[in-house]
Amino acid sequence: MEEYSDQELLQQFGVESTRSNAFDLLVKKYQKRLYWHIRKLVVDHEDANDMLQNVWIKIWNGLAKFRSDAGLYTWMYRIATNECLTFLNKKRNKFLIPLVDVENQLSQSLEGDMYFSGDAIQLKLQKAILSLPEKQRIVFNMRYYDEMKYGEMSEVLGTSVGALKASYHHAAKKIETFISGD
Amino acid sequence: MNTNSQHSDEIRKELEGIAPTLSKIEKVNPFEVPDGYFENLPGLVSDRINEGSTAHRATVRTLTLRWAAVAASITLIAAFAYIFNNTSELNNNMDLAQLDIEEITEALLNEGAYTIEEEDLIELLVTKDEDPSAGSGSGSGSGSGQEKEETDTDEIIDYLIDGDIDLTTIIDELES
Repeated sequence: MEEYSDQELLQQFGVESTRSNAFDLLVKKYQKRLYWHIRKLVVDHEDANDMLQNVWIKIWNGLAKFRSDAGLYTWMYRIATNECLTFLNKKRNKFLIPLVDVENQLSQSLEGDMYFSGDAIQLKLQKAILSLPEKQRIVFNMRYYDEMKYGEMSEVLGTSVGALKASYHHAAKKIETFISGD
Repeated sequence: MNTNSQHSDEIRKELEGIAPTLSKIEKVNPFEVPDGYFENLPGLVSDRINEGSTAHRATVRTLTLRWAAVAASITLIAAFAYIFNNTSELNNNMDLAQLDIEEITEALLNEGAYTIEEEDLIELLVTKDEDPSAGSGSGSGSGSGQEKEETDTDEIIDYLIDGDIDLTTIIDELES
């Protein structure tokens, strides 16, 4: 299947007769990357699925006003990240529990997750990642798994490149300590 | 070596310097999805978008009827006022009574009296101030201004790392 550029998809989205098809192609082009970004943050597939669908609806609603000079993927990634942060905050507020306990719950749920196929070291790595403060966890995932440039991460998170480098450095060091322990 | 593998290599070397044990762990995705999930998702999203626009139309229709009922009530009140008072001072009420129902509805809808559009919130995100020095990735530009910024950034990073100052943790602590 031919893959259109973002610019071509945006142009097609701007024309009413090709809007739905262009959006369908956009979903197919980016669904996996957005899903895995969300999934690694919220862990549970059902939660990730709900959130991803919400993210696509928000993208649909906002795409007509999207300024094409900005990076489309960065913009979508930012919507997905904010959706995750909102979800985790809601979860914390709903049960009146500190964030660290939410991360503990996510960590525990990994072991019984039928859609987790990692071995013991991968399980330990995921638990180490879940032990990080929320924003540091996002920074780590974006750099380690998604291999994003610091400049792109800065656009998504609205944080300076220097702070992101420091954050990633500390996250990696904490994970190193966690997985080297016992 | 193409740009992507060069970038991956930079990230790998960066990690080796920070966390040698972690850098030796194979980088795999340990999560899975149900069979056919990505094949079915575009259809699910499309259905939800269509449901949303149907729901929106239904909401507008319901609200239109509600505003029509309000306008009709105003008309009745004005008519009764005219009958009982039968004076020339009733012109203002009559003006109100003679307003077209569709005009009232349209005015209320145009004023956004019943909803806050989510795209306005998204627009806020889109127009959020961006740091122009941050948009080009790591170290791809030139010029003395940018070099100075990079030097400053390096100094900040060195300071945070040498002092073991975890900025994210500080921010999280302040926000909690």
